[in-house]
Parts: sequence; structure tokens; C-alpha cells
Amino acid sequence: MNISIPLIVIIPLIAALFLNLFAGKNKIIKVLAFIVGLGLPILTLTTSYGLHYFGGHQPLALSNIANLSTYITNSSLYNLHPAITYAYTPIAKVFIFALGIVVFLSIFSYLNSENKASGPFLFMVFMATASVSALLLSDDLFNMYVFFEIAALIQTGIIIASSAKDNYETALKYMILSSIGGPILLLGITILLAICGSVNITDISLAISNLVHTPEASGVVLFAFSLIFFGWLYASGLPPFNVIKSLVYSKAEPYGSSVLQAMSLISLIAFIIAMFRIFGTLDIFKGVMIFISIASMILGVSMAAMQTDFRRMIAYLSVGELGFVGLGFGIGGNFAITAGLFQGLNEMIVTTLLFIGLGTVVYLTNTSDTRKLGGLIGKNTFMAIMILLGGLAMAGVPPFNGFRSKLMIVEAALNTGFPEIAVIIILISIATFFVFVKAFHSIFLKPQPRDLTFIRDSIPKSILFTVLVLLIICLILGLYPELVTNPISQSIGGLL
Amino acid sequence: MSFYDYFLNYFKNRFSKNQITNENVSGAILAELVIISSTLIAALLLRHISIVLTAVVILILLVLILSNLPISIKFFQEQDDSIEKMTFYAILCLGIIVSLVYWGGL
Repeated sequence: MNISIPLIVIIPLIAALFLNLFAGKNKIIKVLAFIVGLGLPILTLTTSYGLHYFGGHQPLALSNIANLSTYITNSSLYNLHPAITYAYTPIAKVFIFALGIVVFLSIFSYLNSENKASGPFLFMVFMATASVSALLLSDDLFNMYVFFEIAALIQTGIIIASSAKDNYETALKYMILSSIGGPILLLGITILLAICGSVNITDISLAISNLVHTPEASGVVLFAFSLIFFGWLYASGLPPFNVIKSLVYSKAEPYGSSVLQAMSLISLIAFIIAMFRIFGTLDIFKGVMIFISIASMILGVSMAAMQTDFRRMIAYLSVGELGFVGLGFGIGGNFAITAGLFQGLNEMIVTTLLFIGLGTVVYLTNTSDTRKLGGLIGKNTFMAIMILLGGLAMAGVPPFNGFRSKLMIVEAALNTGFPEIAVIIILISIATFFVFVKAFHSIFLKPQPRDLTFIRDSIPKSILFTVLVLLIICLILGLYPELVTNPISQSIGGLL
Repeated sequence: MSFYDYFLNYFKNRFSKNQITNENVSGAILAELVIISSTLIAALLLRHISIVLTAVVILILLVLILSNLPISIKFFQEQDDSIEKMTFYAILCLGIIVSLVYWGGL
């Protein structure tokens, strides 16, 4: 038992409650949000790997009880997990740490840009952090679902908290689509509970590996897989939910968008790992994963190319880039899955950089329409260059992190006999480069329109610092990818 | 009339109410090329299942693509923010996934 594992969820939950409680006291909530935001990545780093059984109810097999009857030790009850189990693995450590960094930098930018901090907004950010951390830690499908639903409600709240036009309408649309995706996911989990008698992923994996070969049960297993797969599409914003997800990202404030995209990415990773553990042995698993990932990448980049709103463009690119994570699992094997997860991590960092960096354009001009913008490189050249480098990192230009992860996926595709996937990845990367250069030209390089007005004169230094830190992380991960690929690979080795 | 002129006229007819720049048109042409090339290359992956199936699917895709040019603008119009279209595609996708996984996996 490792008591600091549940603290990773409990601390942001308590912080969220206190932030809401002290909503009117500006100084208190600013200090509290800063301290907790800074403390979360530190807690993640200092917590050691292990398992935590809530209530202390570990499986009988681990209890070392002497003289148990053979009818117990030979039954499946002996290995059953009676408690909700949290597993703190190297993958969980890497992603929760990265989430902590994204949340801290988003909060830091927010607190320094706004004179009066909003308690409810910070409440939602910390609730979001707690819920998606629990998603990654939990070894219990129903527990994951509960936290996932909390995360979905929080996402709606973050959109409502923004000052963008039509934000209420977008929140309502998201809720309507949630009412399709969420229950379908729950139905899939319920079917698994019905046929396996447990919602623990380890127990289900064991049961499914036997059930899938029996003609009576294989159809039910496949049906459950299709429902959970659909729920996963909704959770991560892959097609057909790519439109609503990109709309959601574009309607939130930049600090909110960066947290929202990190939430979607962590949800994607938590559920794809769970699905891989449960259904990874199904023949169709890899096929559907490759199909939906390629569809996501094509739709994401092609729709981004046609946008005139740069926030929407980044949102579409972000959703499209999620396909790379799915591709890693679709190709299969330790190297490919590690590459896919590494790409997911990179995408989380780069998209945060772009949302916060390009958020300064809205901060200065109150518009995100590229047709109304131009010549902004004169306003802050340093920020423009950092945004350009961030865009290059997303497109996969060396020496940044995106290049390393995309190259790894290309290598994995070639080594496993899928040269078509390698070609598609390169095509999508070139298109991403084009889209970003086009947007950069529209915003920063083309002549400034005469009717462009500025509502503020300068960018807060805190945002410059945030973007610089994120860019340095991109560069470090590009130069030393083994910092994260080694722990990820270690975890994947355990799963395989 | 070249394909570019055809594309440009189609684009202007569809989006005449909005301000159109050459960047919008170049973005749409990029989307067109990405959709066509990536879809055809992705179809080649079916060779892992059956060569005949791959040939048939590619021929069908070619006919569909050529009869629906410019495809990117039609995609763009379908991928809009209306809740009706989003719900329709969500339900359609659910049906396809359940059918494909259930009968494809059995």
C-alpha cells in the first residue's frame, strides 16, 4: 500500500473545494491555486510506483493467509480484486506529471493575466486535474467511468466560464452529444460486468482471454468492445466527435483550452490502455484502431487547412494529432505503442504552447479571424518566433519532440510491414506544416489591415515565460526522448 | 477549364457571402489533395486482408472521388457545427462500428 498514490487525486479535489469556498477572496485563491498547482507535479515526481487498495482489501492471493482450502485457492475468487485499485505505473507518472506541468503553467498564465481570479474557474481546473489523474490511476472500469463523467461536466463548465461568443450553445451541444457517448460507454462496461462478474480491469482481462474463444460468449465480448470503443471515441474527440471537440476547444479561454485538450488526451490514453488490456487479443482490435486513427488524422488536418479562425485551426490539428496515439496501438508491439504514447505526450505539450501562445493574439486584438489579422510580428517578435517554433514542433520538424515521436511511429510502421501508414504519416506532417505556416503568415507576416484595432498594448511577461518553458520542454524531449520513452516502454513491456 | 478554375468557381459559389482570400483557396486545395491521396493509400492497407478486395475498394473509391469533386468543400460543409449533423454522424458511426466489430470479428 502506497498512501501517497490516492493523494494525487485527493489534493486537487480538496483544493478545488477550498477554491470554490473562498471564491470572493482574490488573494487567497491566487496563492492557494499557485501553491497547489506547483505542488502537484512535485507530488507526482516524489511518489513511488505501486498499488493502492481502497479500504485495504487486497486480493486473497497477496494476503499470505496460511492454510487456505484448495477450493478457494483454485477458484477465480483467489485472484479477484475486491477493492477499487489504483496502480501508479511509469506511464501514469509520466502523463500525470506532464498534466501537472500543463495545469500549473495554465494557472500561472491565468493568475498573472487577470486582475481578479475566478474561484469557480480554478475549481473546475483542479476538479479536471483530479478526475483525469484518477482515470489514469484507476484499475477499475466503473471508477474510470465515474471520473470520466465528472470530467465531461467540468469540460462543459470550462466552456460556460469563457467569454467567447456562443459558448452556452456549444456547452449545450456538448452535453447533448455526451448523452449519446456516455451511456453507450456505460452500457459496454455493464455488459463486461455481467459476463465477468467484476469491473476490475485485471480481473476482466483474465476472464475475457478465456471467454473470447467460446462461441457462446465471443459475440457478447465483441458487442461490449464496440460499445466501449464508441465511448472511447467520444471521450477522446476522435471522429465522429471531432467537430464538437474542436468547437469546444475554440470556445474556451486559452488557459481553459490548454487544460481541455490535456483532459481529452489523458482520457484517450487511459481508455485506450484499458481497451488494449481487455480486448488487445481480439483480431479486429488493431484493424479498427488503425482505421479510426487514419480517419482522424485526415479529417483533422484537412479541416484545419480550411479554417479562417486560428483557434479552430489549432483545435482541429490537435484532434487530428490524436490519431497518432491510436496508430501506435494499431500497429502493435512495444516500440510502436511507446511511440504512440510519446507522440501523445508531445502533442499535449505543443498544443498547450500553441493555445496559450496564440491566445495572446486574442488578448491583444480580441479576434481570432485570420482574415482580420496581420503584421503582429512587430508587436512582440520573441513571442512570434516561439509560436513558430511550437508550430514546427507540432509538424514534426527536427530537433523538436514531434519529430522524434513521428519518426518512431514511421519506423514502427515500416518494421511491421505497413509502409502505407508511414507514407500517410509523412503526408499528414507535411500538411500540418503547410497549415501552420499559412496561419503564421496570416497572423504575423502579411501587412497589417488598416481596420485592425488593439485592445491591449503588450503581452503579460508570465505568458512569455510560460511559452518559453513549454518550448524548452519540447526541445529537451526532442534531444533526450529516452527521458520519457524508457519509462513508457517499461510499462508497456509489463502490459504485453 | 482547368481543375483549378473549376475548383475556384465552386469555392466562390459556395462561399460567396464570406470574404475569400487566396489562402482559403490554397487551404481547400491542400485539403483536397490530402483527402484523396491519404484515402487511396489507406485503402491499400486492405491488401493484408485480400488483394481482390483492395482492388475493388480502390476502384469504388476512385469512382466516388471523381464523381464528387471537389470533395474537401463537401466534407467541410458536412463537418459544420450544427447539432443535427453531429448527432446524425454519431449515430451512423455507432451503427457502423457495432456492425463492423460484431460481424467482422465473429
